[in-house]
Amino acid sequence: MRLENVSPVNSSGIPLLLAILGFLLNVLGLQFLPHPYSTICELIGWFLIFASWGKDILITDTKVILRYAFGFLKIEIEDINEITNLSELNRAMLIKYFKGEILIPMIFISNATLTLLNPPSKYPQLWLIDTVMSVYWTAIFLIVFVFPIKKLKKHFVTVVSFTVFLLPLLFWTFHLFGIPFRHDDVMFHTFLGVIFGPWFIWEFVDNRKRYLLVKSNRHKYLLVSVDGNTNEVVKTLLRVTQNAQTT
Amino acid sequence: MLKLPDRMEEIWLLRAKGLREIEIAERLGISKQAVNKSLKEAKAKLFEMFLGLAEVFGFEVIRVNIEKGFMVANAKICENEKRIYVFYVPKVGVRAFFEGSDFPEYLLKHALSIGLIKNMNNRELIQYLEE
Repeated sequence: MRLENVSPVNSSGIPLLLAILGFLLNVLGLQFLPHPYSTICELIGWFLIFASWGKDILITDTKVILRYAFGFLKIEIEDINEITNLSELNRAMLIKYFKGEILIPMIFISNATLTLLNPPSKYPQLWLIDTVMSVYWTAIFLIVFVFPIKKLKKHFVTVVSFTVFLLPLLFWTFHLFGIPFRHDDVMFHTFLGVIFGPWFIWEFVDNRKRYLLVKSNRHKYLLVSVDGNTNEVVKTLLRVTQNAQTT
Repeated sequence: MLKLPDRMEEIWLLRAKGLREIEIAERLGISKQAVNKSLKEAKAKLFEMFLGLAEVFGFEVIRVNIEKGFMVANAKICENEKRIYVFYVPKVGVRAFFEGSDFPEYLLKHALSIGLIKNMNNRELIQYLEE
């Protein structure tokens, strides 16, 4: 049976590896490969990032199965020890449970460093935008993983205010250094970066979403419950786990 | 009373203290399979106890940890929501405490013995349960 309104998040194990590999390919393609190889590398990167996304959760009387990679990757959770609604705990931080996630902001900051070290002769505005966006995204990731989920709402306002302030600041910088900024790529990169920042935090702030931690003897999994009765989801998982212990 | 049988409780407590199944088997002079079976049964019973409490009293379950034997839940009392902490304490059974109340000494001692806290401190235990 499919567990309604709940899906797994790519926060650990193979799905996290896929996401990290996807981001790495994006950065490597961007930094080291000439066109059109860089585009191919970026496309594969984005494909891996989408493949790392959780599809759905199947449950039987005694099993919980998480499906990722468009349903092709199945992970069965065995020996559950803990089920927690992280969104309802007063001090629960994602970083405490999913330390591997810290690799993603590290990729962003490496990208910013590499970009800064290699200023291009053409399109300096893109160079500046890529650096600023990488730093911006590192900050966004750190905010989500280091602050308690329950208190992220406060930080969402800060991020939106900062983002609104960031755009004129960037264009003012271009003006100051005499860099022409009326270029389609610049607008596209800035638009993408700035739109996805608050959206990413909103994913964790949105009242309709609840983040659930499932801890087994060996692994930790993150699930997101959307528009559903989270309490019922927790109880269903508890029942399945209880049944699994008696068989 | 909501309580595990003595032998099962002893095995569960050793596991809660961090011993591996093989170490428990050696200490108690039984097979690893017997320890595994007993732990499975203990977990099933604890899940049943916590789930049963949540169903009967209409708690919203926030956190259940079977290895250490505790549950964090929200209880609705006269339209107000109140945090409730439920523990399984060896030889005592299941005990529940409302947010703001002081935990008794026997509970803090138990929490200390299974490594939930490092000092006999009410605040430290709440902090552990809430993060």
